[in-house]
Amino acid sequence: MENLGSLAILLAFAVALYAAAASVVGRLKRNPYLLVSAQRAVYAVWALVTLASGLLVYALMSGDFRFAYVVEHSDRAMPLLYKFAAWWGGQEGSLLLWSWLLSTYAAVVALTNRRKHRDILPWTIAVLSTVQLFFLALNNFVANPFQMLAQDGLIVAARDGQGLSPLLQYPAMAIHPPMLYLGYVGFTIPFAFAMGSLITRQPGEAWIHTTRRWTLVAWLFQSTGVVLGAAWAYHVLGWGGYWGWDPVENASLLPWLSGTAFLHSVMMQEKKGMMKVWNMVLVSATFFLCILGTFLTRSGVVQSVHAFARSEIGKYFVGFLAAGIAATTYLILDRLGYLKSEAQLESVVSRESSFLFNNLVLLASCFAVLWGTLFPVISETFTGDRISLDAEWYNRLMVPIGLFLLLLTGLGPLFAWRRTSAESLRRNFQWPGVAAVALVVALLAAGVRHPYALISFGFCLFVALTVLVEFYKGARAIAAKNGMNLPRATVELTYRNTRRYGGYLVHIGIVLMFVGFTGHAFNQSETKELNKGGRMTVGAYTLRMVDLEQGENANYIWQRATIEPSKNGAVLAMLEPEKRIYRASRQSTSEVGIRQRPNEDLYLNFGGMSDDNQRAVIQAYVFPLVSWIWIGGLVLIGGTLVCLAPSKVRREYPRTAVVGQVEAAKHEPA
Amino acid sequence: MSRLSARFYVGQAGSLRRVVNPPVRACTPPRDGRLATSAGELRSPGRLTVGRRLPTCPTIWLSILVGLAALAAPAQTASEKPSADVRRVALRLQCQCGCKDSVAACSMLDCGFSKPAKERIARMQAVGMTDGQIIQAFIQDYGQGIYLAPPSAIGWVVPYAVAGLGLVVVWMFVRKYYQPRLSAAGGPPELDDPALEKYKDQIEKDLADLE
Repeated sequence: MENLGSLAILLAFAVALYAAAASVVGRLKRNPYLLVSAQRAVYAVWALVTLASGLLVYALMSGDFRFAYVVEHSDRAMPLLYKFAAWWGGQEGSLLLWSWLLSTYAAVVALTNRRKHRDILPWTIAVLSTVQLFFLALNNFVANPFQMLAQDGLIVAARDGQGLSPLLQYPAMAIHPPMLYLGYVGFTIPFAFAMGSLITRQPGEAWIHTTRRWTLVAWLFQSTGVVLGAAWAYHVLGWGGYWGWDPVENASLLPWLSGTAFLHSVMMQEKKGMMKVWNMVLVSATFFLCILGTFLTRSGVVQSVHAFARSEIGKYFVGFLAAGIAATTYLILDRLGYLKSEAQLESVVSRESSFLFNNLVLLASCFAVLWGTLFPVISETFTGDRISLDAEWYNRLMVPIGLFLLLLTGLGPLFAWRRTSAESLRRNFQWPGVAAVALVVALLAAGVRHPYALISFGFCLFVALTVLVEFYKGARAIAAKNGMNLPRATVELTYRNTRRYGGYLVHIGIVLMFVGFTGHAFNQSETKELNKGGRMTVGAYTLRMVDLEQGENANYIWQRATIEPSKNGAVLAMLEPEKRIYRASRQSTSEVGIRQRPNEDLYLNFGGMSDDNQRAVIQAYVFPLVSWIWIGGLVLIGGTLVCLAPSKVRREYPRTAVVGQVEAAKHEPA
Repeated sequence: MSRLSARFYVGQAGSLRRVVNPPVRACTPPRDGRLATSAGELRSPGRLTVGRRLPTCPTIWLSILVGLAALAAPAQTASEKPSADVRRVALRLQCQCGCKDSVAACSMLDCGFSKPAKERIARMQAVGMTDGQIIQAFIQDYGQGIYLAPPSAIGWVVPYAVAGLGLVVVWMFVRKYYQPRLSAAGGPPELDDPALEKYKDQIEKDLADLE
């Protein structure tokens, strides 16, 4: 089996090399046989990488402890789900997952576009295959998942493995990394089409129309991965938080920010034929930020609470990034003549301007996160001192940027294309603005003094109302015209233009998440040693320790406190925070006890036992509004799914008021 | 393969290469009855009762593991989930385990420094020491090299400078592509008729709906 696995990834490497070469040569020589064989080579790569992945998963599930990877990332006692999750629990396996996902995406692209885009597709396949080659080279020659344990020249099997990192033994972790990888890998598709468009000197937006859904799918997965990562940190990893500005967390946020900017600016190109160069830069930046994120996770160049071990793999990523960025920059500069804007800005107060500011803010926040992530390395290089930027630095920088972005979320969609009149602005923003100010005044009267919290709540209400009013006005018109009730008319409205109203739902999701973030300003915490019957208070809660026990199972040893919380005299459901010490890895984790409610979470952590084993250290937190982060995440995912659904009416997006000529159109495609 | 600490050959089948002390850990507890905690310390078995379910096999070893786990727990109190106060100070201290990261962020599995250091910070805070006093105490013990400087001016200035540069780029873009609506001389006439004025909003709205 081990030979078959190694052979499969080696063959996949060779076939990917053929796919890249055959695509290029076939396109240049205009040889259809070569082009078809290149497409079929893409399917073959998928089959081979699928075979290798299947073999690795089988080895993990069946506990084949002859494999070094199986020994290092699983053990007999692990539940089946986590044995499967061990596929991406280590360096070699996660790189194989990267390869498998990319080969799957590439195969779907080749299949669904086999009769379309005859100019672009060969180059798209060549780019995809080149990226595939890089990861398969790592799989074959740097981080092979099929290495065997051997002693005295003979393959041997260990009795048991070291187990998966206990931090990863959490249900959300079984899907969080694949979601992020689906996002990371997914951004390769629009990048590959964009490069194909550049190479063939396409003057139009064919690549954008083709890749819009691909980009949305990648963004959806990336968003889901980021939200799941925050949930995982909150429930397993954290210190009572959901976002610690850890380098690996940042690595997942960077392409999400640039991808979000791209999703907005691409509308400028579709609608007005503007920002063509910028969209090329954004889609390329998003792809390279995905590669950079993978590099940061694995190289050890910056330390993280959940990075892979340090390895020598970083230099290969640096080489790939350098070559890729150089080639992309050359292509964009060389094809500037084909990327000229087709229209003019008619007014500064317009949808076009709001997209410019949206992009500015998103890219500024992207740069700030990148700067903070790399600053320890930069400072050490230039000054010799390794200066780490803590969460306070990020918060001081990112909170104002985030609030401005939130405001734009409400303003942008209500600006009209071309220009917006003062009357239109007044009509759209008057009542949401009044309501937001009224809320801030009410909160001030209620004693809230945190300035960012006041601003955030005001903006949240403002944005939510502007979006809801849009839904209401549209639905009311449909209801009146077709005799429907309002809920049905709202569904009909959304169905008629899924892209627009799905986008509004995404904005509502963002608003709900900001409500949750704002709750952070009101967190409370308390730590105390309790014995049986002991009490402590945190916020409005009184906590009584009912029981303290310990035990073990095949996978871990546990210590557990049973806490009876009460609020205003009413006894609430028991919480059982627990500490686990995993046998195989000898690492400990916490299973926190959480009482989740829309207004606040009561969050209990078992800190440890006292020296005489009679008392437990209980860390108690009250986190107001944190549940809205997860609810907002779900709304955001739902909104993106609506965007992906086809509209009832197919819209053509005619250009309006095209001013100027397209010089590029005069040129012949290569 | 009774002792995994022996020399190994690791490699693909057919092309084995020799490595010493591969990253494989012992599958069975050490024979001296001691267990390494996650902090890398060795502790003796404690006097503890086992919880709900008694171990079935091998009873003695499992009992010892439970006892050792309980003993190991206090060392993790302030280190596994440190409070925001502990993290704030720990971020200014360089971990001494060789990872080059702060005490707060060290993720080395067997780090023997960060956990006791966070414990110590928590104890010092409990007796009312300030952040500066705690950091000074660590500097006295480990030298100036343990201190991680806070963000320098350049750490703050560059992101704002880049955002400012972005604003300049947006301004240049607007300047280059801004062309006000054509006047009566060169384009469609402006409408002054009050009867038509009322339709302007509707036209704007319809244009927006073209998206």
